[in-house]
Amino acid sequence: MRILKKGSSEVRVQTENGVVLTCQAVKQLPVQHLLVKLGVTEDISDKTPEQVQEQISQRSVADQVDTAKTAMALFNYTMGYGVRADPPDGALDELKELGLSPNTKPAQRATWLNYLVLAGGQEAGTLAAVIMALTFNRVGQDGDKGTE
Amino acid sequence: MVQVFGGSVEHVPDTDNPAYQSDLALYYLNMADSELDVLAGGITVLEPARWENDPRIEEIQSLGIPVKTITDYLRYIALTNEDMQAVAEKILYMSTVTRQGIEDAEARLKIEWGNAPLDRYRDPPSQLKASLLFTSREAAREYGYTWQQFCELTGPEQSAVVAQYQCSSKIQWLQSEQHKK
Repeated sequence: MRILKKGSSEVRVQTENGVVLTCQAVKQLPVQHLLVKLGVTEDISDKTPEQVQEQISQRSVADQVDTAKTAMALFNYTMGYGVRADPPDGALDELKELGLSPNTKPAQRATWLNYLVLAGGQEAGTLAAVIMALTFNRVGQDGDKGTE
Repeated sequence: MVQVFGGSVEHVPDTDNPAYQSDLALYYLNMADSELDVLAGGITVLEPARWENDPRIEEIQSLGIPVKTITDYLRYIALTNEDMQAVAEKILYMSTVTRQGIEDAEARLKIEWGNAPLDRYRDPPSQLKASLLFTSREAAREYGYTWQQFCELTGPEQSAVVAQYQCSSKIQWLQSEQHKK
């Protein structure tokens, strides 16, 4: 994933398969809660997805199932409300062929990104991290005023 | 640990330490999350009359996020980040002693000294620095409340007791200063 433009209120990215997305902040309360439910035991803002995955894999199976559900909810929430793009024509039909029929706009967006746009867990994690950074005002924290 | 004059060592908190910053961020994350769990008990949703029927619930649930309790509803739908601070302030105001509650009570008492409102006079000089909790306990004791009785009062009532205690202390000091002259 490539960051095309970084501002304090929105970030434009290009995914590995060429789709350009604009990201924006979402509500903090839900994200805070989902992060706490995920059992984040340390600030993950400087961790790679692999490091977070490693932390999660050390838990019991039941915990991991709960964690997976919560991680999915966090992904869906950030994609559903933090990406300003709708699935293009035909994408919903394609999802339907895969047995997926999300019935609301945010769910359609999240499902489209998950199944048809993002290349894998790492890219998904990076995009979610961009939205969380916007949500908690961390973009450009190190004096970065935004780049084109 | 840093070495100081004379070769002795002292503990100096390193607030730039990444581990400290990380722990602090996590602490705030947990505090912010728990805050709503506590505050939700003091909130009644008036509009919509039945929050369970809010159509936005379906949207959130379609993302795999259950909205089953009023806390869920407040967290995912009703409250924005800005609302949360205002709601917290209001509930604290209604529940306990607050600076705003004390100021409001003082205004209602309409005390004047020498034809000027009492708050125009500076507070009595003192070397004591104490928390609002200490002042509240002193005020409760002064007016004959047990701590439990005091805590059972509403927030504005508790603040009024503290306001009266502080105003009385100031009046006593002003009187003693007047006698000195």
